[in-house]
Amino acid sequence: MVVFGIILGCLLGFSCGYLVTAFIVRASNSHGDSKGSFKDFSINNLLIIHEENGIRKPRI
Amino acid sequence: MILYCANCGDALLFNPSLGKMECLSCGALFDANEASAEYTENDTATNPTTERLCKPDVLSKEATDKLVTPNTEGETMECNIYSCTACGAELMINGVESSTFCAYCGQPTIVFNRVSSEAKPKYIIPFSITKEQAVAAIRNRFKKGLVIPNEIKHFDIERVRGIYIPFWLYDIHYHDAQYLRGTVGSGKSKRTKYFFREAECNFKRLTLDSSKQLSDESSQRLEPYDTFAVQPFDIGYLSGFYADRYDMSKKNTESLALSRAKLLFDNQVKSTVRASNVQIMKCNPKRTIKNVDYALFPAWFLTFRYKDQPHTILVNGQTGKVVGAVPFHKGKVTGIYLAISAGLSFISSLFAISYLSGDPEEPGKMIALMIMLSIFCFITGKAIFGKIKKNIGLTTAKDMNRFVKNRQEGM
Repeated sequence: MVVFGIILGCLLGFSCGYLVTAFIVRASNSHGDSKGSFKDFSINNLLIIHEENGIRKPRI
Repeated sequence: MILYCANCGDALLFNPSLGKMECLSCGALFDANEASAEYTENDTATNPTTERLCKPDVLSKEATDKLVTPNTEGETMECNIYSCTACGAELMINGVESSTFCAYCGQPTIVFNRVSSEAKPKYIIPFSITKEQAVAAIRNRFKKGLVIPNEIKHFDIERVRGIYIPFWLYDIHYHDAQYLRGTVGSGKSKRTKYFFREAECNFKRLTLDSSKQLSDESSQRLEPYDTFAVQPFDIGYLSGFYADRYDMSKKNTESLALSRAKLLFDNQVKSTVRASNVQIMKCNPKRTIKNVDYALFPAWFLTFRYKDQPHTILVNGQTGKVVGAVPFHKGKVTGIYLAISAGLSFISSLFAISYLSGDPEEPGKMIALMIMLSIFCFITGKAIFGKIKKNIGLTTAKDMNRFVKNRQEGM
């Protein structure tokens, strides 16, 4: 039981460690991954003309 | 074309921190349009310094027109050989360049008539980030990098180039009536709900990179540019910088612009729906391109070497946004991985042992959960590492280096 617990714990520990390390490397070495959005400098000029919520299932 | 100082006759360079043309010899400052107007008024023959420098008349309009075929529909352009007006050296300039430094004497040789009336940009965002600021921004980023090798942290810059990248600015009117589907509630009360939205949007100056040579991936990461801070184009702004001429025509980019507008419009409409997993079921878009303008946007390209491999990091010349990934120190990464994993393994082993020793009723569920969590962590971690490697590949990509090298060396 103890050995099985250790194996299970190590499996989870090493895979979580891999994920955490990946996050650290990304934060450290990769810059400007996000692609710029048009909205960043633009006024959000979406104009909703008509909206309905909870309508019947439309026929496609 | 070189813009010369009206006081001492030396070459002028655009200074991003001052936003003016600066004479490096006497320190005189000129507005960009003032300096280029000065050039137009004072013909080369009337300016003794200019006459001396422009001895080989290889950059005259007639000569250049014969050599350069403007590329308006994506045709290839031949590379042409010019002589530097300052030192007389022969230069090979890529057919899509609008201006370049002389690789030998470093003079800002602007080929004015290559920006033909057809291709002349309407707008320009001048450099507001100086070369020093761009280098400092990168150094600051690198300093904070936990797993960046020390050689990279203290890198020697091989070359720094300020390059104007061509963009099309689209004004698009977008109207759509959409039926959407989304999930509301949770657990047993989870259900699908349907929505209707009719909306319109006026996209003003939607940007689209018009250079084939620079990958879309790289140029999109450089964005956003504040397109409302554009200036009317003036040739003076090019002095001291490289400029790339568009090689993707309006016609070729129209569909790309419309799909970009669609993506933005759809996302904005979806954000007005209060549900999760929102999907568009039916739509009827009506899109009209109102106007298209040609503009140049600034970027710094910094190249350094690591393990005999050139790496290029980009800096947005307007906002200072740093773009690019660098290799990581494998030893440091392994050390961090082992330390974190050992700690987590210890904790999770203790938890697993104590749980299993307690003789639980259904141990299978917990075991399955732990195994699934392990698989999830491993797959997600692998995906993140894959993305990092892809990003590193972008900074070392042959295309990127060719793009930068072409603009320095002309071929």
